[in-house]
Amino acid sequence: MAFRPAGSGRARMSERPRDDDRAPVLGSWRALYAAVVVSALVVMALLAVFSRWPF
Amino acid sequence: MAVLTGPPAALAPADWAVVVVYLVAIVTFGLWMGRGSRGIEEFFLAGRGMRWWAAGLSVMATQISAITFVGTTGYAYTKGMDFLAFYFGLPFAMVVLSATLVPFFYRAGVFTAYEYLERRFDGSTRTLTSLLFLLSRGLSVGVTLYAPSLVLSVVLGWPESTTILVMGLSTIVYAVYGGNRSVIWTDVVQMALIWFGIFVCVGVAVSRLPDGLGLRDALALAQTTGRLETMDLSLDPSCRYTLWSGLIGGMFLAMAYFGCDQSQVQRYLSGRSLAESRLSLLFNAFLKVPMQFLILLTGVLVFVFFHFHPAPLLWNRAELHRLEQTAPPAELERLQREFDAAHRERRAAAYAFGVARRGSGDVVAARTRYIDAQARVGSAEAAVRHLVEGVDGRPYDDTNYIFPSYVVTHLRGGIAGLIIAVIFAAAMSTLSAELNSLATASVVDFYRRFVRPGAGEVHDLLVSRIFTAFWGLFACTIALQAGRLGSAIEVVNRFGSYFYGSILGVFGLAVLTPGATARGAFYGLLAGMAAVGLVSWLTDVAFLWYNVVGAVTVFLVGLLITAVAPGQDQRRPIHTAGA
Repeated sequence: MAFRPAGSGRARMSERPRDDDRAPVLGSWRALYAAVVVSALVVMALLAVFSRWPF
Repeated sequence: MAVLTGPPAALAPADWAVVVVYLVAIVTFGLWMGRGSRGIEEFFLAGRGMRWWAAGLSVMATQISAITFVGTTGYAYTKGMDFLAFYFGLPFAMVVLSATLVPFFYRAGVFTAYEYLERRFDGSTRTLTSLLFLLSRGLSVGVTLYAPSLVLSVVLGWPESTTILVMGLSTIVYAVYGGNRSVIWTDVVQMALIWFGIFVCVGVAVSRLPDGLGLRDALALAQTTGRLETMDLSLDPSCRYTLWSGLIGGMFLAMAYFGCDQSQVQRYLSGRSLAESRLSLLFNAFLKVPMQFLILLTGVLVFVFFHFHPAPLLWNRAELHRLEQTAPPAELERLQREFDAAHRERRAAAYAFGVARRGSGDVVAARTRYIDAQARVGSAEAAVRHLVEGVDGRPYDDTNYIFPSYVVTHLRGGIAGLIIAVIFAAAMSTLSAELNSLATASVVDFYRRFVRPGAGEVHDLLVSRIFTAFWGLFACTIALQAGRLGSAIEVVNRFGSYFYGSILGVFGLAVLTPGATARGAFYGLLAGMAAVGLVSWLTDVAFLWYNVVGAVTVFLVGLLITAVAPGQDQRRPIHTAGA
């Protein structure tokens, strides 16, 4: 089920695709969660490098 | 001796114009977006029609209060960037919440997170958790308003009450009229303004470095004083911001705040589908740490900025004025001389260090000289603080005054006005979401259950607006009466930590253990709060760990009670349909 177009937010609840639960990118929520975790780890690694970078 | 406190800094006409335009525009926009609210689903959940990015920005804006913006930059100035660890657990918490609680809440069609607990356990658990939310959030909403008002009143000389009432009443106007739709859309605009302000702050701080010194030199100076350290690997539980307390304690705090605090739950329950609700949290998982990094970096750059520009003896002008009236003049004059001399020496040493780094001198010797000079500045500042504490007879902390002082004394051409508007935006975005959520819990968890069940949409909408106004005026009253609170950012965060972990434990029982009983959840919650109270009273464990203690205690005690006294009360039907 596709997302509704912007601007239709005032429709009644029963008309909306509230059960729409498709992951919009990467194919599945599990893959999306993995991407978030990996990105968080990468950010932390970059911060560790930043802290110790010989400026 | 010379008078240390001159008149407060005055905003230029261009700055005033920016602040006034912001206030008028945001109230007008809030009223415009909130037009036509017809029922409480519209009023409390924006008709469940928000896109993920709008709900996500609203989640972000709700969390970043003015206290965060002002206090965090001040913290980075005085101590460095280790506070970033506080947010390390947040992305992981967002993943856990998106995968667990969000689907439960969304599919249950609830208005409040606590409503779900009645469906899963019983009405008592819902009532107690909602009451804890009203208590903790109701008190902190006053602090949300008070802390920035106090700082702006001292720095700019504005009457504290005026600042509180301007921010409070303008927020009340659009929150009462438009409900959550107004709250979310103004949050979007305010968050965009905050992001813009952050980049302007960083840019200005870099551009104001002296000729011959660049960003790398500034970072080298900050690094030499330990202010770029973000990864403290210490295992000492009394250390406040370590990698471990941030990852584990911060994750529990974030799960509790975003998963069990109605002011956040209501943001993503407004999503037009479950996928949009999940995405709004994951959006924050990506952006929150980088945003806090930039805010802390701003504080560090302001620290370097004041290497090359005069800094006041105290950042709190009111306290400095009081010191002039009460401290021995000769002592104060001596401290001022030592302070000025230490700053002059540090300025020269910092510049020499920067020049030496570019190949024009002995870097090691220049670095050593800079470290010594920085230590002398630290000693001079400590001596002044000691004098203040001796005169006042209480601890002195002016962390929250540093950044606003920098803004109003060194930024020109409307930029000071922009940053003041950003501070207003941060305060108002948090306040509006809190008012909306406090009204929701009051109406849905109490009024519609115990006072007037089934009164109809028109009546409920009217009562919802009355409760929003009530909580707004309550916040203004608390803020007007509030006294000194120390470092305001930690007061708010700590206060929540006494309840958050325990409430998270109840939701953990609800979602993860199908057999857990209402009795187990209720007494587990009481045990969790008692455990947190004992830990805070008897140990010096850092406050981030309270969330872990509370959640784990509730979970274990709840399971134990369920095992010892299994009941027939799990998975009771919800009592009030649709509310």
